[in-house]
Order: sequence, then structure tokens, then C-alpha cells
Amino acid sequence: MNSRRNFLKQLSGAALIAGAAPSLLTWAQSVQVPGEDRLILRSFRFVDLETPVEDFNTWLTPVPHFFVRNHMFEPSQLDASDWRLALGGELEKPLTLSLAELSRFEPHSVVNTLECAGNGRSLHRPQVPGVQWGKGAVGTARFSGPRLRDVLQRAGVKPSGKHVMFRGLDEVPGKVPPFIRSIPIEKALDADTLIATHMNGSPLTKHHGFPARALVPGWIGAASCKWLTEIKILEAEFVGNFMSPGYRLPNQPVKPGDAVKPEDTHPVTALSVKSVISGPADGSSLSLKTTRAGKVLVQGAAWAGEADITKVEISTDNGATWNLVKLGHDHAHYAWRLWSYDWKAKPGDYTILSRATDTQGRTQPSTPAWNPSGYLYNAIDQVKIHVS
Amino acid sequence: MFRNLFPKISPSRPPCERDSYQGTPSGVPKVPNHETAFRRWKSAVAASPRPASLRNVLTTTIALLALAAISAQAQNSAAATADLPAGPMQAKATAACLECHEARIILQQRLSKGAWTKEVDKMVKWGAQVDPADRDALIDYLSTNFSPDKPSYNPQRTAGSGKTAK
Repeated sequence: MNSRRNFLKQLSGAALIAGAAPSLLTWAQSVQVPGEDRLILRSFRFVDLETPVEDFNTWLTPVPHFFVRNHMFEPSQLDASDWRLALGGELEKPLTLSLAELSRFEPHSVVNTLECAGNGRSLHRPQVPGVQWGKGAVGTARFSGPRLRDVLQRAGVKPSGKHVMFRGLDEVPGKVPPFIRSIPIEKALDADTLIATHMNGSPLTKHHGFPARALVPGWIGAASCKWLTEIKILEAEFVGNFMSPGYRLPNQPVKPGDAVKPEDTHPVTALSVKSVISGPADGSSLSLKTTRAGKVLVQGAAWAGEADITKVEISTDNGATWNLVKLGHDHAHYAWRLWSYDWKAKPGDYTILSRATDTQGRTQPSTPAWNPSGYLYNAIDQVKIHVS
Repeated sequence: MFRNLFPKISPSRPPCERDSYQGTPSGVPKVPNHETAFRRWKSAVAASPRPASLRNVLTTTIALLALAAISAQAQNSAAATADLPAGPMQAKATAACLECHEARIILQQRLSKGAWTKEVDKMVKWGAQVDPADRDALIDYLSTNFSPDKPSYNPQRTAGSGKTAK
């Protein structure tokens, strides 16, 4: 039973916690973003959040750990009952669907590794402008919703329809061009391209495009338009800033600083082959006394867009020899493979390298293909560690 | 807050054709994440109900109110405190650039003068209010403070959400 003294003690304890908290919070320098958990803050306005690589330890990335990439303000008004998806352009019967009507289409699920085209941009040299992503603008989730194909077939695509444009409800500041892009009709009609309403079994959160987003599997994140509200079938690729000059790569390799003519470029579509080391952490010191049987567990994730990973190799001697890692059991066509390698280490300083190869015969290069906007960085990954 | 906006869609997960999710691979040790920790905490709390005395309730309420006030203050200060560096162009750059986006987008860039020139001209085209007489000074300010030879930018983290959304 509480005495009066105990009660006063508790009160002073509460006051003490309250008094100490501001300094602790200032020290931590963390920023509250509702629904997001310990992500790297690249930008608060607009929201751009990166997953720390050490969180790449589950095949499906929990939504609060999933990177967020916004070009604009998120929609200020989102009401599921008022939301409509309008389908127009080169269609026999243009349609407008409510969320309830959309949910009556047969649902389909795709586990997809979604990666921002600019992931790894900060690692390009010379540096290029844009959100300075490290290695973590990527994550894997189970996306669910109707197939875009089923919805388009109900509306009847005319033979003249060659590209499918997506428009979201994000709000444009100043005279910034709206975030509108298009994908070719072949990809739109693929059985795995979705109008996703769910992520990891729950309705999409606002940061991830509630109530519906495009999900274009194996392609750069920018193809998977969030807060989807309009789909328009076009005769040609959409003309706008985020199709050109945005999200394009030079047709030929370019030297840093080279000017690239728009006609010598093509849109960025499918992702590259890539692996990332999630542990041990870059710059860490490990003691063999604390590891199991003197072995260091090296682990990470590897993905290849529309292709599948065939192998991941590790080098601990600056690339002189390479060792195959063990690939995780969980796999799906568009999803990353987790991997691990038990390394019998001796004391010393090391650079651990990881290199993935895919079913298209692509292997991570030792030097990335530099390009003016820093897209698709996929050089062999490396972490430096000290073993004692 | 956004929970009220969620549509009433059948919670049952649609069948999955391609994936073969079986949990974390056996060779990879599972690092307990916040979801597991939160679930454990919740079941621990549920397993040990305590009678709430008026004093306990009062103490807890005072502590929670104090923490809520601090947390609100921390939200405001931590989110809004990123400033552009001091200099003769600080005020004009703040007015022109931070109208649409915040300072962190600028603080993390390390660009040559040529690249800054392209960025400034693009942003003016997109609506940034820059007096033509100030253009060169603004480019100098950005390329002096955020050149490739500056130390790399150290980003903050978002706070732990304490939520368990999947």
C-alpha cells in the first residue's frame, strides 16, 4: 500500500524523468515521423526516409522499416469513401472505380523488392544532385490488389493504346511539374503488375500510397505511382519532366561531366543486379573471442529486378578469391534473396566484398556506371572491419 | 489518425502464387525486431494486471502529461531546426529554397559550381523566387558551403514509432 511519502517519491520520480527527458531527446536528435521506425532521415519535407542496412535481416521488410520516397507533398485530403480511380484515354469503355468496386476484382499478391532508382546515389563519384541515398532506399514487401490487366480488360484497351500513364494525388509545390510517368502496355498487361491496395497484408499506409498504388514489379520505384487516381492509355510515352529529362540513362557509357543529349538516352525501367552487406557493420570491430567457433557471420540481401539471383560471392582478400554464400530459403520471382556466409576469420583489418550474379548473366561491376542523375548504382558492395 | 481512413477491405490475405515465405533462413540468426519486443511487452503487461490506485493513476498521468509536452516540443524543434548556414545570402536562400522543401535537401548535397548553377536555374524555372540580381551570389553561397570537399553530411534518424504495423 502506498504511503504519502511513497506517493511524493513517485511524484518526484516522475518530475525527474520529465526533467531529464529533454536533454536525452536533444541528444538522440531523432525526429518523429508517425508510423516510421528508426529510419535515416534524408528529408522531412518532402518525406524521404532510408532503411538502415542492418535492418535487411527479414525477407519481408516490416512497413515501419520500409524506405519512403516522395517527390512532392503527400495528399492533404484522403478519404477512402470519396476516392475514385478514373481510367481513360485509348479505351473502349472509360471507367471510374470506387475503392469498393476495385476490391471486387480478383486479388493477386506479388512479393516484390522495390528500389528507388537513385538508391546508392551518394556513392557515385563525382557526386550528383538529388536525394543522397546510401544503400537503403530498397525493401521487400508482399503487395496485393487487383491485376492492372483485369481492370484494363474490363475497359477494353484499343489497339492504338501503347503506353499506360499513372497520375497520383500528391500535391505539387510552386511550378514543379506534376509527378506523372508512363509504362509500356506490355508491362502494364503483365500478370504481376498490380493496382496494389495492401502491403504485407494490411491496407497501404499513407506514406506508401493509400488507398491504391501501381505496383510494377522488378522496375524502379518511380514506376509504381502512389496515391493513384488516374490511369490513362496513351498512344506514345507520356511527355513530362519525370519521363524526360528525369529517370533516363545514357545509351552509351559517359564520362563524369559529359553532357548527354536527350535523344541519346532511354528511360530507366528494370532494376540492376545488386547485393548489399547488412552485417557486420561498416567500420565495426569484432573480437573472435565472442564469435561462434572463431567464425564471423557475413550476411546481406541480393536482388536483380526482373531476373533471379543465381549466386552471391564474398571476398575477404580484395577480390583475389571469391567464396559462394548460402542463399536463404525464401524466394519469389521479383524478391531479394537473403544470404549468409560463415567466415573463418583471423585477426586483421579487412575489406569484405560481395558480388551478385543473375539469370541474365549480369554480375555486379567493380566500378559503377556513372550517370548524370546517379541512377542504378550497383557496384560490388564493401564493408571495412577490424578483427581481433 | 490515418486509421480512420482505412477502407473496409476483407482482411483475409489473397492467395499467393509465387512466393514461398518460410520465415528467416536457418543460417541467418534472427535479430529480434521491435515487433517481437512490443509483442513480448504487451503479453507481459497483460499477464500482470495491477489494481490501479488513485495515487498511481495520478502519478502516471502527471508523468505522461509532462512527457507528452516534451515530446511535442521535441517534434517541433527537431523537425524544424535544420537551417541553412550563416552568410550574406542565408536569408534570401531561405526564402527562395525553403518555400517548397526543407534545408536538409540542400545540406546533404556536395556539388561543383557547375552542378549548383544547373540546380538553381532549374529551381527558378520551377517557381523559386530569386531576383536575377541575386542569382550569382546564391550560386556562390551554395557552391561554397556545399562543395565536394566538405565533410560528408550526417543524417538524423526518425524516432522509434513504438507501433507494430506489418
